[in-house]
Amino acid sequence: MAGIARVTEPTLDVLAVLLRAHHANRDIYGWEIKKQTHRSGPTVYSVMDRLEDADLIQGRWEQQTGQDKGPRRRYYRLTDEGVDLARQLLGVRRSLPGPDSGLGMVDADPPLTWHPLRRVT
Amino acid sequence: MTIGAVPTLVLLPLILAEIAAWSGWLAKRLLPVAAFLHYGRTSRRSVRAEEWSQQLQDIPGPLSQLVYALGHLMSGFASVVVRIASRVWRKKRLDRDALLRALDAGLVRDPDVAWLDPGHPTETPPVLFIPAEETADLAWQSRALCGGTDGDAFFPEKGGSSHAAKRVCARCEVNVECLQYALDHDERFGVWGGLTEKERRRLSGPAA
Repeated sequence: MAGIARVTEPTLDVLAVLLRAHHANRDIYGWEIKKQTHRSGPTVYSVMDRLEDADLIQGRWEQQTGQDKGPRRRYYRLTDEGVDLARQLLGVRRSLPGPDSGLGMVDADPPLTWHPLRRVT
Repeated sequence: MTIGAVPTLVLLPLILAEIAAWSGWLAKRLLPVAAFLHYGRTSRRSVRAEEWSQQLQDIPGPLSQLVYALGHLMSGFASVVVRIASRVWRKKRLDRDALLRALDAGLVRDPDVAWLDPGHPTETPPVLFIPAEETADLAWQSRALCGGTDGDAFFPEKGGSSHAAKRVCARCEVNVECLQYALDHDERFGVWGGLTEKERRRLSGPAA
């Protein structure tokens, strides 16, 4: 399995947010990750680069409707491999309950900038 | 209040509004630059540039947008510095490794003298030891120093001096790989890895 060289605190933060989104069965975009981790943009994206290089997350562009011409939002989700690793790492380093005991839903705060109308299916 | 304060009072809000408006504009233009600093000419550059530009819509004020863009820009500069530093460090290490391997192989007796003295006969036939996986890999060619020099020097006329070519080889970090390649492929002409045709024949002589 491809891995990430260093597992830093920001990495864990990002993985936690992504795992939460995974459990809520939705994709999450960069700005939400930044908001929910309370980390700076560059910090979040250096983590995302490494996760992406290791095939732990996958990004896709938002689908624009006819009128939209601006830059597109990019959504991310954990790959199957990423889910396994996130659970494992968060279980070890953050002592979250394991996947069998109610999942990582413990701190399922509603995402700050998420709104049902924005949801892309 | 003096008369002069009136235009100031009128202009100041205008100037501030102007600065704020320009900040948003500037932020939009800085983000692609930041993405380039971070990722160079990779496909990720354009992905991030678009992604970050989109995020400006999530930031309400133009000044905050500028701050956000500057954050990416600064860390872009930092990553450029890190990249250059690690390249220099890697090159230094390669130089040293190449020299050590050459010394081990007996190709160089004294790092300063042996390569620059073509007439000097080697006392013991050098033994080459290069791991097989390295010879299979031709990536070394892109690091070869001779690529940037006058190619003619590496193919001296009969009786001409190979001194200039050897001087280049002596500083080249891949001279061991180069020589191994020439021996493996039985290159008949030119200076390879610091050795002339004749010197290479002497090297591979016993085996042939």
